[in-house]
Parts: sequence; C-alpha cells; structure tokens
Amino acid sequence: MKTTNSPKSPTLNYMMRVGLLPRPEHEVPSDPVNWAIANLYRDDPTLSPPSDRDDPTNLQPWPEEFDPGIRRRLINLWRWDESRDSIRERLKNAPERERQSKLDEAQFKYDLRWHDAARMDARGSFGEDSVRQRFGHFWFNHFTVGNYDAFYTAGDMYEHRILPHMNGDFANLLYEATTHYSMLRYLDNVSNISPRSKAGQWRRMDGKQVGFNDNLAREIMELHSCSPAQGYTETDISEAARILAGWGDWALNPKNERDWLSAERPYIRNKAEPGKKTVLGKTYGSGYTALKEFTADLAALPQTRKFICYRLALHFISDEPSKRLTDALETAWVQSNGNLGKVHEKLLEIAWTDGGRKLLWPSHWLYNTVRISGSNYFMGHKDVFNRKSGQRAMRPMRELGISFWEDRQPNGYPLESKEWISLEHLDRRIRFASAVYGTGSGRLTPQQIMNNLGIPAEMQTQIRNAGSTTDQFTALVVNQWAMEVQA
Amino acid sequence: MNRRDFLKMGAGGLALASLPGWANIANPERRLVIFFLEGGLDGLSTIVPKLEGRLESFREELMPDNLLDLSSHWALHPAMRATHQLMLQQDVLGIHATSFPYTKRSHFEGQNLIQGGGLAPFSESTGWVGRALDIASNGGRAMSLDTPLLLRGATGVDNYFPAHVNGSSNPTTRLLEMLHGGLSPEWQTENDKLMARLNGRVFNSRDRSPRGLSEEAGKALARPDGPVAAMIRLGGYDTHAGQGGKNPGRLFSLTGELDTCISTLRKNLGGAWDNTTFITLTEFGRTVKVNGSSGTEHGYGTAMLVGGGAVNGGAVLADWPGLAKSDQFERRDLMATIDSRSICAAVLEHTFGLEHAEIAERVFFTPNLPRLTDRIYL
Repeated sequence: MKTTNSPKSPTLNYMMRVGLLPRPEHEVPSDPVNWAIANLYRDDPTLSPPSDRDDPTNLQPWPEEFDPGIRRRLINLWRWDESRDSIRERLKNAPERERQSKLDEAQFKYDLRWHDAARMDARGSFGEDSVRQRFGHFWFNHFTVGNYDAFYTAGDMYEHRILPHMNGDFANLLYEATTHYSMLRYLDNVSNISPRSKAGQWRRMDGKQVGFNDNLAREIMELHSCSPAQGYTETDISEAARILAGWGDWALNPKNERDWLSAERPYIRNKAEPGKKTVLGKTYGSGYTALKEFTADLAALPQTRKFICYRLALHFISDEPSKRLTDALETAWVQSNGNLGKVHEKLLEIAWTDGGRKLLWPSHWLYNTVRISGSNYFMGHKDVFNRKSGQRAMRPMRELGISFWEDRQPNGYPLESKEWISLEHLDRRIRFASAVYGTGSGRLTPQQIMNNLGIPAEMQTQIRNAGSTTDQFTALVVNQWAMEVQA
Repeated sequence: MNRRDFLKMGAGGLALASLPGWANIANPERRLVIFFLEGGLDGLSTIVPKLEGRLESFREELMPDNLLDLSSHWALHPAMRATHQLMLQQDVLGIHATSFPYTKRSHFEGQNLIQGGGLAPFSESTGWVGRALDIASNGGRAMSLDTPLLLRGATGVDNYFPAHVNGSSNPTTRLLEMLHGGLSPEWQTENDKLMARLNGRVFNSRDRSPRGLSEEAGKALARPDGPVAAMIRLGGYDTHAGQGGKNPGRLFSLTGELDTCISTLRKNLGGAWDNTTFITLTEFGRTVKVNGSSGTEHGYGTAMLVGGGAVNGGAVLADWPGLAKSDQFERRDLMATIDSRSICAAVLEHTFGLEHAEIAERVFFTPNLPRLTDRIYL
C-alpha cells in the first residue's frame, strides 16, 4: 500500500509554522493568531515527567538546581578545569581507559550541558508555550555559541539572555547576547586584550604576545546585526575590536572576589583599550559604556532592520519571502523603534494568511512527532542526573544535525529548507519515527492519533494499510503532511 | 595560551558523487577527493617559506620547530609526516600564495564562494564540482548528513553519514516504497537514492571521524563502479587563539588530522591512487602577523595541497609575492598570486576529461582563467 499526500487544516498548519503541533491534552485554538500572540509572551516553567519511563501526564517542574546561574556555572567550569589537570597528573601512568573514566566522571559532575539539552527537549515535547519556544530557538541560533567552553554556560544564555529579552528591543537583545560569557568565550573576545592596557603590559613583560582579537567584532556586524550589506571596512572591524577589548575572561576564579563582581557582565578594565574609537563614522569613548552605545547604534542601522526581518521571514514564512512581507515586518520595526515583540506579532499575523512552503527544522519535526504520539520520549531530569544515561541526552539532536550543544560555526544552522533535504536526513526521519514509537512510553495508537488530528479519511485508510503499527506511525510522520508547512 | 584541551569544531562530513550506469566519459576510472578545511587555513605555517626572512619577525611565536624539509626553500608543518613522505615520493604538490578571488574575510561568504565557484558569494545554487559533473554527464553521490553546495548541480547526488539512533530499525525497501507517495517531490528523489543504496552496497562503518570518513571514501572510490568525487569536511581551522608554534597548539592537531586523512585515503584507495587526485580547499588564509592571543586573524592568500598518483608532486608551485609590508595584501595578509580556480580547473580537466575553455566558461564563468594543468600533472 502506498501513501499519498493530504492537506492539513489551516489551524494545524499555522501551529506548525509558528509553534508546534498540540499534544492530545492540549487545546487546539479557535482564534489562532491571538493564540499565537499570547503564546509568544507566555512564561511557563519547564514541565516534564521526571523520567522517560514515567507516565507522560505526570508533569513536574524542572529542578531549579539545574539552572544555577552564571556564577555557579563558572565555578563548575573552574573546578572541572582543576580536576581535569589533577586527574591527568595523578593518573598519568594509568591505563587510558581508567583515566578517561575518571575524566568523564568529573566532567559529568560539572558540566550542565546534558541538563540544558534535556530541558530544551522536555519543553519541546510538553510545553504549551510552543510559539515562544520557536522564537527562542530562532534567536538562540541567531546568536550561536558553539564551542567547548561556551557550552558550560550556553544554557544560561538561553534561559536568561535569549528568552527574557527576545520580545524586547533588538538593541537590548544584541547587548545581552554579546555580553554573555558564552558569546565572549566562543568568539574569542576573552583573548581580545589591548596592548596598551595593564594586562597587556604585564603579558608583554612575561614575554607573551599581546594584541587585539577581531573575531567577535567581525561577527557582531556580519552575523548578528547589519550584515556585510552595510559595507563596513576592516578598519571598522578593528575599531570595533578596540571597543570590545576588556569584555570577558577565560574563566573566573572563584577565589578571586574581584572576578565575582563581574560574572554577569565580565568587563575587565585592565584589558581594555583606552581612548576614543570610531566605527562607521561614529566616535565612542573609553570604558564599559561604549559597548552599549555601539550595540544600540548597530541595532538602529537600516541594514540591521532589513537583515533581521529577512531572516525572520526566511525561517517562519517562506524560502523566498516577498518584499511585501519583509516590508510589513520592517514597518513594524520602524513604528516600534526596533521592538522585536511588535515585529514578532506582525509576523504571526502575516503567517496566518500569507506563508509559503517551509520544511521544518528536524528538531521541530521530532518534537511534533513526540507530541502527536502523546508519548514521553526524551529524558527527564532524573535520567539526566544519572551519569550512565545522562550523557545520552544530547544524542537525538546530534543525530539530526541540529544540536544547540555541539561544536558548530558562528553562522548557526541554515534557515533555508533546501539545506535540510538529503538522503541521510530522510534515513534519520525514518529511524526516529520507529524509535519514538518503539521506545516512547504512553504512546497512542496510530488510529487515535489520526482521530485527534482529524486526518482525512483517504489518508487514514492508506496509513492503516501501511503494515505494523510502527510502520503506520512512520507513515504518519514521514511525509509531506508532517515534515512541511504548506503554502 | 588556551589552557584547555582543544576540541575540534564542527562535525566532519563526507560527500561522494558517483557515475550512473549510462555515463559515458573518457576516463571513467578517475576520481576526485576534496578536503574542505573550514575556518581559513594558515598557509604560512602549513607550508613554510624557509627563505622568507621576514616571517620570523612577524610571527616568531607561531613558527614550528622540527619542520619537515622539502627543498632549500620550503618545508612542511611537523605534524604532516605522512604527507611529507608522499611529497618526497613526488605524489603531492604544494601550491602557495593562492586563493579564490575573495578578499572580504567572511567565513560564510568565503565558504559559499569557494564551493559555489561563482563570481560572488551566494550567486550560485550549484557547486563547481556539481556543474562539472553535470557537464561531463555524471551523476553524483554525497556522504555527509547534508549535501554540500560544492557537489550540488549534478543529478542524483546522494550522501552518507553513519546513523546512531537507539531503538530504531533500519529502513527497508518495502517501507520506502510505501512512504514514497506521501513525500514531496524533493524528498521523493532522496527516497529513490536511499532505495538504491539499500539495493546496492551496504555501508558498515560507524566511524564518523574525518579519518573514518576518509577510509570509507577511499574504499568507495576504489571500486570500479564507485563514486567519482568525494568531499570531506574538516573543521576548526579558524585559529584566532592558541594556534601553536614551538609548542604544539591547535594547528598541530589540525594538520595532524589532515595528514591522517590523506594517508588513510591513500591506503584505502590502493591501486586507485594512480587515478585519483585530492585537493585541499579553504575559504581564506590568515594574517601574516600573530595577533594578541597566539593566533591569527582572517586573511587572504593561503596554501593548498594537490596529490595523487598522476600528480607531478614533490615541489611547491608558487609565484612568491614576498612578505614586505608593501607586498602584503592590504599590508596585513599574504598576497595571492595564483588563482585557486586554475588549480581546480586543472583537476576537473584531468579527472572528468573536460576542455579547459569549457570549464573556465561554464564552471567558473571566467573565460580568461589561466590554465595550469601542465604544471600539476605529469
């Protein structure tokens, strides 16, 4: 028996475009646009069953201890660093396997990435705030932090910089994201030290190389705000690096009280460049306030507005967003003076009547798959607490090529549908469909799912004829209906 | 500098392009492998111009000890022992002071331009290898989770990247047949390729490291009916900090990994090495001068390696621009004096039997692209 494609209801299609499909216990909105706008501003705690073996209706809040704040995370980073060195030293003649096992144990104790990954997946599986999540993912990807040390604190960035600020002014979000430890670490600004600063002079006396590091300065303009369309020069980039010098340090030493005063906004005056700097024709003074002015000026550039509105439209609306649609978003930006909440609201309005075809990111497809199945597939906080199983928390999204907790390039994951179409991606969809149906606890039958979703009768017949219930489920989620938003 | 262990950035990926049964070209046994070094390779530390007295003054800290000598002029990075051996056997050629015509130092524009091979970033939706395969009437196969731009354009590129999904079952041809009608046309194409793979050879490896993928690529390319082109991505070349010099740093691990990939490919190709050309590509070089964190910033001119049994190796091909400030590009980067596209064109000409003029015109849209084929092949 072969399947064919069927259209889905406008409401489900819209939920899929701007949010996620409903779980069986969720209500399907009668007024989708107002539902979506209200959903954007929800502030739900993360709820999920404590373990992946538990009943999917037994929801409990994610423990606060797994979101301990940036200071605690930086202490962890410091301790992990120390214990790594000491294990290496202590076990330097021990067999590799024994040493690795001790290192894994220590890392597990201090690294909260597994928790951050599991928490994002728990929200994706159970959260009713799906519109808020989708915008959160968009912005967390826009401000990609993707390397080893940055991971320890990336979850903090998502919870405390992205989610609370993504509906405020873009200028503020840009500043919040730029000044988070993860970003400063990931784009090497921790190494951006003025040769004229005290730290620079000390380092020179130690015979070390001293100088600026352009990495964050370049990407803040190229990727985070105005894009190369602005036509900035290498001089603009090196001047921006001088504004950024002093922001961030490798690791904050818990024994050093002075460092602790700056964990939230790590600005080290001793590393900063004194004097005036000029970027894109505007002159900035010295000190930590210059960065806030600089990010505000970047946010106010027309090219920034164009770039951000285009990216939002590309992700949510269409692979080839029309000028009419991006103009509507830009108008909302201008009228609100760069308030992202207003821009997002406009996008949610447009999306109800005007969207084109979009392939969902594999992560959103997997969340939808789990949600409609009614099951509990991802790990709960209790599973992640266990070292043996905990490190598996990052695997599903790694397999799908869209993990927020793995090494990647600063331009983040692509927004265009075509980037996600390949034979291996198809193979992964099929495998995950069988894995969710085979191992997710509390799942519904394919027939129950089809009834819940109001699947057209003809498609129902085809799916019933697909073979085993696992194959039926696969047929239900590996198709155009479940993978794509329709025009 | 960077006290913590360096961990590679970016997942490796392997992409392969293969001949369909109906293909009809001059030398169907010839193969092409591209190692794509993401992040911007520091050419000056990879192939070191020993006689360039100024190098030490700009970057003493980055100068590796124990260089592997190639000639009185050139030496290879000390982590590249296997490649050095291949160079001594005249199977690998270095190219220096080379670049694609891209000077703006953005990773993402640069990577796009170098894979797309067009006149501007984001101008092409197909890649230069894909277009060449298309002109040579070959199909393609890709071996990574996604399909890289470089190979797009050829009909039927498919890909390979081992899956590790707990509790899942392997797709079957019956299941794929059943799913076909419900998929959109773009996915139906992928479904057909997955079906063809299930009906053909089964990939058994679970190793997703660049070394593992190089092994898989070597074995696949060595088969008479195997793919004709492969791309393997290696990440982490964006060495802004802790690049290393006298003490091994990031570049040491990176060039060591590349070296392992090259020797693994060589070993697994067996006799097919004589019909294969590999090249390295990267989006740009790095600054001549060391920065404040024992690293280098985005630059322009860089180095590349071209190897294989038919390659006229053992030397470094360069029109050395010098490192005096006034000889540097924008007084900061190594100038590029060889257009990397000429190297790519030579490789396409040799591998796919296309005319240089056609490659210049239809693959790189640059009719006056210099031809260097005779400098690269025996």
